[in-house]
Amino acid sequence: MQKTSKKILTSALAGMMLTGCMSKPTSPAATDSSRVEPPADIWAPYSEEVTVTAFVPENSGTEFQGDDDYGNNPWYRAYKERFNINLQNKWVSNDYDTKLNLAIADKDLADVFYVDAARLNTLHEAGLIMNLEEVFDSYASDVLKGYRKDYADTWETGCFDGELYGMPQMNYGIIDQFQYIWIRQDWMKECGFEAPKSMDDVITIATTFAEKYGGYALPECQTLENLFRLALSWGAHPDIWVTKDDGTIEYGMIQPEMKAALEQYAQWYKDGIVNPNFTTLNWDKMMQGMINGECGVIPFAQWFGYNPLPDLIKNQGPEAIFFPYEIPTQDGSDILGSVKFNNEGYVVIRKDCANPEAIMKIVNFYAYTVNDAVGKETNEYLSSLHSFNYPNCVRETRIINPKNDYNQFLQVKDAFDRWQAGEEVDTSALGTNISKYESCVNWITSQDPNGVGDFLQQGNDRSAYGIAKKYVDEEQYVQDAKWGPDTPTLQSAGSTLNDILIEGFTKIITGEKSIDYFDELVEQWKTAGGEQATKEINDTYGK
Amino acid sequence: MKGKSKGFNIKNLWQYYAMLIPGVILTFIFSYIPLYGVIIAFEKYNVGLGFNSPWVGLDNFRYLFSQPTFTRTIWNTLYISVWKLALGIVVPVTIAVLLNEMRSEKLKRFYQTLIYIPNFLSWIIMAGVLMDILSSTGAINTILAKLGMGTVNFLGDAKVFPWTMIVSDVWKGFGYGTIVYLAALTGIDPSLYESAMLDGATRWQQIKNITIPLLMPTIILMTVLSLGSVLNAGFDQVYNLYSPAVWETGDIIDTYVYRLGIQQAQYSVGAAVGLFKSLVSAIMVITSYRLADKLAGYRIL
Repeated sequence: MQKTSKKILTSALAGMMLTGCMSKPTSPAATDSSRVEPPADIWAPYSEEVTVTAFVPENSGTEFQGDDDYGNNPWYRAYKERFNINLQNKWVSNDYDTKLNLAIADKDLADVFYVDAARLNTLHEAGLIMNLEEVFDSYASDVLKGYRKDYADTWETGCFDGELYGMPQMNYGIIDQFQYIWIRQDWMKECGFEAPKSMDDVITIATTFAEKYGGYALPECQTLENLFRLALSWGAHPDIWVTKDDGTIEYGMIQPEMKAALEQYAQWYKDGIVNPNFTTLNWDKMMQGMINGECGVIPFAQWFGYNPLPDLIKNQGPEAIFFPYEIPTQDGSDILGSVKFNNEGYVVIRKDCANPEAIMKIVNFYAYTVNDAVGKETNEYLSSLHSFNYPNCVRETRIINPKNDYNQFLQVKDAFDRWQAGEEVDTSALGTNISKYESCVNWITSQDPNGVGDFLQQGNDRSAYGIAKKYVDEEQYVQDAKWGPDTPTLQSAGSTLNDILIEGFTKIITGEKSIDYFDELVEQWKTAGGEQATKEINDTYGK
Repeated sequence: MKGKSKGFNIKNLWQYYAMLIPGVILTFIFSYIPLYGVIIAFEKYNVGLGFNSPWVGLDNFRYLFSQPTFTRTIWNTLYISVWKLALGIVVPVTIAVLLNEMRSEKLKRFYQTLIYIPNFLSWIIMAGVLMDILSSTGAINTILAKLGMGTVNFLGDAKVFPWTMIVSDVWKGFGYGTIVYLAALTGIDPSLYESAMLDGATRWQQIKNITIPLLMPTIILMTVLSLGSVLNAGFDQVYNLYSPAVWETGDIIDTYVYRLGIQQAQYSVGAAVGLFKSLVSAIMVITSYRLADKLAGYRIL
């Protein structure tokens, strides 16, 4: 009796331990579909259906029109109809990084997905992604090959030893990277102010608003975002790495120009111009103040019209609209913006993928719809792909044209001007840009707050892109000397390094430390890893 | 049974041992096997390579301690959490004794419930409330200003911030401790008080000589239990209330590692800190248990 029970217990114990220890995920290689011979013409369909899988980094609960969803939508139907490719989503999740890490750890990868620079390294190191040279060479469209030639520096960041592993998704263009001073229009008219010509004008406007309408002159939050935007006025470029006169590269945030900006900012804080409570406000709280109408002047990026302006207008009425103005410089010269290396992510293909050229066809198709399709496809067809929630369906397979926003602005502005002059506008020529144009029109006709973002980014005579177009055309900017992804030290310690500076700057602004503390801070930054980071940047990106 | 009652008597007690087995197995699977993951702290962890990532020895620890802003987080953590611990005993014991002396059962219940309520609110919500109450135009500063005491920057002043954390945490949590001590108080034999009263002992003498000594085992137990978490100064509280202006005194190990490890996906460094914290906690628990045994004769076994 006892012996049997002991035996039972022992075997039960052993069994449980085995299941506990050995339930490691099995290799998913068995699910591979077999290889199907691709047709010679890159635009031709496969002779039999090919199934490829993807990870989709979006909210799976998103509502679509009709019965559509992330697995069945105009894009996926187009892949099926045009190429006989059945694209299946392994999962759809907006907790993308976590899900992706789990998938990598389980070695349960989709055929195609997108990753950031750090994970591109991880996957390449672990040997889980495919060398794309061959398939790119044979199956990429001319548009994609043109991208690779025109933006070679960006494409090199997806290469290891010169071989392509991740296709960079690039960006919408540097036109979206500039900073402005946004000023509330109804107050400006009431006080009779002109566009500011110097930083003193900006402060006069801001303080007058605060005296007349309450609140404070300049908003700010813990992360000192507004200081870093205004610092451009002093010729500082805190967000990027700058090349010094002697050819070496240094971090923009520790330059003498930044010190000058900081000194003035500390004085403004002392004079009560900067929001006295900023140290305890996070970005959301600062914006809550803006929405409540506590402030009429804010340094901000081009997307102020999308967030928080619609809420501000719902709260304060349409006449509370803000317009963007150029940031005036200290010596009256032209302002130079900072332009960063910008890349949405990298499209990668799983190493064991049986039909990688099917993925190239999908990637080609997106590039085709944004570059060549106007005139070849019907307007309805194109807008069915690029309106509503459908643009999100290609998040993991799209490669963006960096001229996208610039060209879009020219088209939308032109059409909108003609509409305002009372002319008939042929919207079919707008192709994928039609929704921008329509929301500008909606703002004018019905003051729909959801249209004000597009109106101020592109439609208005004083629009963010209208100002930025001049910056782009006349190369009125400083390009980041770190033209690529972060070096190892920056990847591991970059934000900790910035924390040291932000903490120190906060002390200087609040008067706890004098401006001389700046130099001490720079030393601290260097010992904490800044010196090492500077060395790496110079080795990698220096000439 | 004869003469063998003290030994490992599997013959008569095997049913009880059998009942223990599922628990032991679960502990083994979920607490001991994952210990293997500790090696991440000594590797340059790559998700794709898993545990086969390159071995780097103590590099992650060296890196951590070379950061000029890391060592101060240890002191900040100890400062905030030791005060929280100390006040987290003194305040509930005092309140429990005071409540115990109350005549009206109804009022006693009422206060007990009232002070217990904040314990159920999450720090996310509490942080939002505190930010409003403690802001320069908030309720508390308005009162201070009206009393002519000037305003205090509770959340933005590095000298005040740790105490804002300590006081608000004790305020939020003391209702729970009070209930534990009240329960211990009801276990005290009333005849002790009766005989003390007959001998002419005052209220204060009764508390000093009967209540406190008899509460001591509970106090020691609660202290030993909480010493293990002395390096947890309250991540969710501090993270939701701090800002760069108070990092000097308010940045604790957990918030620092969150900014370093989680936001930048530094798994190895995160694991290194976790291991470091467990080591310190283990030392603290063992020492405090020894001390409790020595000073108060308290033992679990």
